[in-house]
Amino acid sequence: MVKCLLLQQIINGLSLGSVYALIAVGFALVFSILKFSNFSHGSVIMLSAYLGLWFSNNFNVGLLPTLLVCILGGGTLAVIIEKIGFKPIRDKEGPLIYLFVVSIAISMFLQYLMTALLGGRFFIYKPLLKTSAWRVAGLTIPVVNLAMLGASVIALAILLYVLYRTTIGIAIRAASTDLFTPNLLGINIDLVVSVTFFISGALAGISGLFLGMSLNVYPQLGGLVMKAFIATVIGGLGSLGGAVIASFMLGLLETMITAYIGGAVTPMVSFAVMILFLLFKPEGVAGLLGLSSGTTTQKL
Amino acid sequence: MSSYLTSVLIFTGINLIAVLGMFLLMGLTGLLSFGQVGFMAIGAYAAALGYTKFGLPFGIGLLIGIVISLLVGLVIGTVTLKLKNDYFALATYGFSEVIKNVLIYFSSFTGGSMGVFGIPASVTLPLVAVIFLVGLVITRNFKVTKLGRNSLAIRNDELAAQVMGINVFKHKLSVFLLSAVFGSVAGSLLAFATYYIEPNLFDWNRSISLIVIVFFGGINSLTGAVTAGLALTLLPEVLHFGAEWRMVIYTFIIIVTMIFRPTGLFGRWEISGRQMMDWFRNRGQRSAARGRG
Amino acid sequence: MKKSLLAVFLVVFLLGSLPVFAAEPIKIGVIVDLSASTALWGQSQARGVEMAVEKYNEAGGLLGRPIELKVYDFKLDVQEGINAYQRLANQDKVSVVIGAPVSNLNLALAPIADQLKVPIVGEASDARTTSKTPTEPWPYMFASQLTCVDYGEAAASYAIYELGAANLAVINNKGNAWADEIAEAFVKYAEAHGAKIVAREAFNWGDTDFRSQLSNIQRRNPDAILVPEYLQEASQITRQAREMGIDVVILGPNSFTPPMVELIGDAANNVYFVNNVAFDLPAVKEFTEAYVEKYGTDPTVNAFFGHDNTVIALEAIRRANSADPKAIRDELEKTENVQGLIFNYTIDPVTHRTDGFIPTVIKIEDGEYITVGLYEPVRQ
Repeated sequence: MVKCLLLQQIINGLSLGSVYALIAVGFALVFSILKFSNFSHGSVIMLSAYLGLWFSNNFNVGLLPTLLVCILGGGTLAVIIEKIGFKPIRDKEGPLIYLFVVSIAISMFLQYLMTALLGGRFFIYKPLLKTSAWRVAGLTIPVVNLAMLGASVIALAILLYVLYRTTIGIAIRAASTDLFTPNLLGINIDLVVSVTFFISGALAGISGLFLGMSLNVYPQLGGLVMKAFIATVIGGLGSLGGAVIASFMLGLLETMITAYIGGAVTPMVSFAVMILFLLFKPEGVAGLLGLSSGTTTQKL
Repeated sequence: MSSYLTSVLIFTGINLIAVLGMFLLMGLTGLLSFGQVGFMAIGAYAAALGYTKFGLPFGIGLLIGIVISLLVGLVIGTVTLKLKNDYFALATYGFSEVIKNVLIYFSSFTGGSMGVFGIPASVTLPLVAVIFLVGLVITRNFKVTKLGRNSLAIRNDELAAQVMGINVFKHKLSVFLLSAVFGSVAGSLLAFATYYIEPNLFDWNRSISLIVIVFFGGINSLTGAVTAGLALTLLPEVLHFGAEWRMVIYTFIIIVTMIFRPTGLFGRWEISGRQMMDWFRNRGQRSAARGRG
Repeated sequence: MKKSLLAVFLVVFLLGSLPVFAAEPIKIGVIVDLSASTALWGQSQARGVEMAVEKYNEAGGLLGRPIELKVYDFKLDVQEGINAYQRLANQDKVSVVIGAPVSNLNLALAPIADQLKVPIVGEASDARTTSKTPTEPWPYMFASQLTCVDYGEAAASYAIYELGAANLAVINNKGNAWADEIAEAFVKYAEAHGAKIVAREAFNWGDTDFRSQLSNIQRRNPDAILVPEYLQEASQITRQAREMGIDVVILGPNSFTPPMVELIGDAANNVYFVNNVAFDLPAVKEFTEAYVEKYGTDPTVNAFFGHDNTVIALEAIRRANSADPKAIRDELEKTENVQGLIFNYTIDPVTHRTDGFIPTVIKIEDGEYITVGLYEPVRQ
């Protein structure tokens, strides 16, 4: 029996926020470099889920090897998408907005492709975790979501280390303020972009595995990228920390509206709150916390 | 003309009318908006409910839709146009999601998810064609006059445009409202071409398919936007032989085209009366030359 | 030389086309979703149609003519569906159309079919797709299966009278007309029959997390929860409810049919759902085996309806002794005792739906689908 509804709803909100956060970190990372909303992130999530499913079922392996395959597979997929889809447009110095439109077309293509290949069928992982939820003192904590929380925190920590302590990180940060000047300084922009996409894809791979485990594997699985888009914008475009915080805010906001006002009004109320928030804080969460100010200083 | 072709062309024409508005807003002025389907929903429901609830004829419903869209657009525009780039995109996405959910939520008036049923299909191809042509003339005139140049100036550098003495906010708002009117009219036509409308007709997918058309054709070319609208609405019909691979082929063609033409199909090129005259004259000369040879 | 070659070609051409002249095929149209989120249903339905047509063609066709299928994908887009119907009626000149299992397209098609006069035999569960008014049908629209109201009432009645539930809860997508209609009928029936609705929770398109709604439901301690949702949402709600320790009966419509158990395993235990197919029928079992052998995947319920709707349509053609859509429509209305896989169909000329179609209640236990039996809601 539920002893404390409010506490359970807070847990529900944080667990939903964990899902959004893991997707949003990868989404925001690409935004911080190339300055466009990369909707193909969702299809990398979806394809990684299929990849992990195939791997774990075919080779009968546990969680960790599958996770590794999803990380490598997701990263590689994202780099391939960048090379085929985005690089030609970058090379021709096409408008940034075309990267966004192509990313949407790619995500549609991959979704239709998987539907045609597998006839829209649904799949599920064999159980990779001993238990899917912990029940402590009448409260339910979903284990997969906890894993996603852990993964997003670890990913954020590693990213911060890479960005601030390694050469490639400094190059990425240089590129994030201006994509074209570092070229003059002898930084290989293509390499920086590839590394960025690989990291972002690896995060999508982790999301794909965990989402596939908790939600079934199906062609529309990548649809959750919309929430990452919302969290990234609210977080202050390109600010990784902002995106993570905004993800938890979004998860909590949606859960609390559903719990105490009613699920039917959740989209209306949550969008109204977000638009109002943007009006008062046009820099997003990052602006609120002073994580970024102006365009020249480094965004966390 | 077979009723199949008529039906396809009516839906193509309706898409094109919505695209004209998006071309002004996104192509010329550079404001990425997911709000067009929201205005289409307003237009569709105003016309449909006007008829089913109050017995109003299509024309009146269409006008009511425009008025509501202008009022809503004024509020939404005033609030969101201060936001930049993706913040604006998100806010407009929120707007159309709110509209969709309002239509679902207030079901006793709007019919909710069950939609509005029993709308007479009084929209004919000539009507759609005439409205499209009027829209085309308005859009073309907008593009070639000072208004269009102001839009381009804002798109290229907002600060510079402000310095040049353009009232950036006011200009953006008027383009936003004009685009909303196009959306609303397209929505009203859609309602009276389908007999049945429901909130889910106006979702993210429709937004995306319209946005793809604008950028596929090229943000600088009205000719491109119209050609892309025609091509991308007709293509799924042509591709039926592909069975379950139909949409795979469709999206593949879009991706390949955009990778090779990252400024859109037509770049900056516009079709014009003089060019057409020249082309015919040259062809005449060529065939005359062939005739001599 | 040239002339003789031409003559050879002519002879070959004429020979080749002779059987075609002798027996021009009867064309049947099919509108299904093969590319969007309900592609699983669409593909299954199209294959069911295909298997029925193959059966007829192997037996020498119909009226001495082979049957030809025209299948169009509409990607769950109403406008594309309208175009597909226009194309089938106008360009391909089909005799009859087997419709998609979604209500919104059929609602839009009902008045168009009235103009183009090519009958549609479908499986949409919104009663408005076949009934113009309660006493007058859309002349060219037919449907073989249950309405949303049937699903909702049967689920409520079974919960109250067979499972002894007094406190009921409902969770559904407000934006899904099908789900909302079932939920409305369920609530109305339950309240009229002495049960109490203790929680009514809603969610929206694209939602994947239902823990907030389920926590609210859990607090109200209901005896049974209705989940009238599509496969993805229904599997997710059931799985999350079980995770949270909500072990009470979950009621549902036909979306709990396979592959549900495959997806959620033990979480599906203690689910009772109202179905339009009794899986233990010999004909259904036999068809399922043939389907699995032919396509290598399990059929969804749509395959059975695709098959049966085709049989209803083809038998009407046989009785009409003509491929003329209007004559077929008249015969469709008179359909009586046509044996399909699921049912012995008689079309009610007033509702244009199967007369006396009785829902089946199926229980899920230890990963098995156990057919409880036919169940008619208690009327008081």
